[in-house]
Amino acid sequence: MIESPLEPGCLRIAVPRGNLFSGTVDLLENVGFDVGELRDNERKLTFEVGEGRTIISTRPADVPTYVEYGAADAGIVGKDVLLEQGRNVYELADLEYGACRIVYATPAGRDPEDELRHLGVTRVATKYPNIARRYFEELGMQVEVIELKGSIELAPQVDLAEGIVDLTATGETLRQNNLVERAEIDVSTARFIANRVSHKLKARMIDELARRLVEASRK
Amino acid sequence: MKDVLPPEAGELRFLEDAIRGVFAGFGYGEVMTPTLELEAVLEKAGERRFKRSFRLFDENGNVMVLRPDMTAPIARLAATRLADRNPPHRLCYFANSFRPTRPQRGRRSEFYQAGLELIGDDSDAGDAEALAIACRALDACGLRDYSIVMGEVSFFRSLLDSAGVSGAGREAVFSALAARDMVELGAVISGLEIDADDRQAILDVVSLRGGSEILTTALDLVRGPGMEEALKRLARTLYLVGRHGFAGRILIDLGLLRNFEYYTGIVFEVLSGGLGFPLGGGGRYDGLLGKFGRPGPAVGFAVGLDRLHIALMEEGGLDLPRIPGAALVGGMDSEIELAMNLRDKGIRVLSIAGDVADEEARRLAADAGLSYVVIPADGRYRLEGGGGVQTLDRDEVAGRIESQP
Repeated sequence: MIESPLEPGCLRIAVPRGNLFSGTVDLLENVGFDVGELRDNERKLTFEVGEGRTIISTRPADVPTYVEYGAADAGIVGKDVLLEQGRNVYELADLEYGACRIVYATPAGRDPEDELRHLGVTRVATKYPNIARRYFEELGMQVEVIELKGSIELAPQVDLAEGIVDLTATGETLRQNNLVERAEIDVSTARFIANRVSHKLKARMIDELARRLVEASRK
Repeated sequence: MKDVLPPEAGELRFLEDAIRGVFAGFGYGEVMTPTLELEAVLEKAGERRFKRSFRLFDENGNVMVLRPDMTAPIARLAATRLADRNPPHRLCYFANSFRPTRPQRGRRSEFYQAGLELIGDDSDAGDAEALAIACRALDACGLRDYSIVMGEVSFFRSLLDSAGVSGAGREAVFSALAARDMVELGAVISGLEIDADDRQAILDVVSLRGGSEILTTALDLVRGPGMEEALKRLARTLYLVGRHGFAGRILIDLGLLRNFEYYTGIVFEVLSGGLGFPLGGGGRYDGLLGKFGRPGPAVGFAVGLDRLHIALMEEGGLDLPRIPGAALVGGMDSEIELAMNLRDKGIRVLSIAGDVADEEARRLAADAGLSYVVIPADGRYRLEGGGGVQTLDRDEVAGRIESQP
């Protein structure tokens, strides 16, 4: 039988396999978790890491889902995912690693504002349709948001879109694809989140973990 | 929204009846209000969350709202229809409300709640009564693993008063704390022009949660009479809930605000270890009735019957009383008199036409959750069920079914 995730004394934590993964594993190691298997075994999905704590590794975009439903008590996920999904989870701490920026970019040598004046609507390709829609709505700009699952920077090259909204850490991918950043929409770092019921029924364990994660991330 | 079929509907009604019995036991009278409210009236509640609701027009072009909760309609009812009666009013309801939402487990656009409001009483004894009734109702439904986490919004409001947080900064603090977004809250607070001590006190308060010992810890953070009074009130409420026998069910969370702006005193949420979301909640809203024209204190709560049902299923299902019942072959035609005779004795009888095959009769009985099948056989009756098959005379059938429902 699968043990209830909210069993007292146990804590189930969702971590993202993705850009944040290695930084997350390092951090968990620094707070004293036994992460050897988590680091080495890419196929396994759940890991016992000592002191009654279980790690489940998932796709980054799925971490808030597990936590919102209570299938995990807590989780680590990028702020970009939280901003995009708006899930009902508690955001308890900024762990400060995995910094990147969500930017609006268009091809170099073209004037997006001039094109917009003529056409009235511009097309924006993105993995973050909600963030993009919110941003352009606030600007009062009419855009057609085109949702893609990956390789967003391809869209302007094949005339699928006039611009993109995407995550960038160094700006290297943008440069390689001849894209110029036009605006920074948001900044994202790793966050520690908790389920709202676990936050109360397992208050001590969750606060303790949050404190240790923050301490280790500031070292 | 969803369709509800047997046995789910029967189980939800069982929970409703169990809770109705508890509410009645405390002297609460049931009210029913219209499903549609005039938008212009509901807007008086000043609840921003109500902006998200289903709307339509009546024949005169007035905007009608599918009620997004039951507290505002009951506040309206108390301020208008009960204006000439002396408080306190003890009212309860079993009703559906509507809020547009992306459906998921325990969250639908139409949801069914059992709730009550104690109107015209501003005492901590009233707070304790509401909490105790909630516990007793959950007990009556057979829920074992639950806690009620309780806070006091005036504790946090007084802290902000004493720190001099007002205007847009105050709103930003409340909105971050209501979402329990501690990163945002930290950012908002570092942007406020207040003492470093106050800044730390705000951050300390919002993470204070646990058992009743929290009230002692919180004493160190008191700055001003408002905060002290809030803590004293929580302590008195906790003591009175203990006298009702439910002290062990209560947890304290001084950062708990809940998402409704109309709360002014205690707030609470019902949590079950098997669920990732609260199954109910409530609090004191002393300002709401005044917005409908007749000021008065009030406290109340609601439990989502669908969520309670999920929590009970997580604990292994409902403990429904067994009611004697049978499918009677011929009950629709050749055996109508026997069917009526059994029903007179309180036995549920599913009538089946006389020419229906025995196998089909057994299937119909099983689908309806009935333990017995009665089949006429040469002037006597074959009774299948209760662990065997017997052939009985007509006047023996009822007694046999009743003896082993």
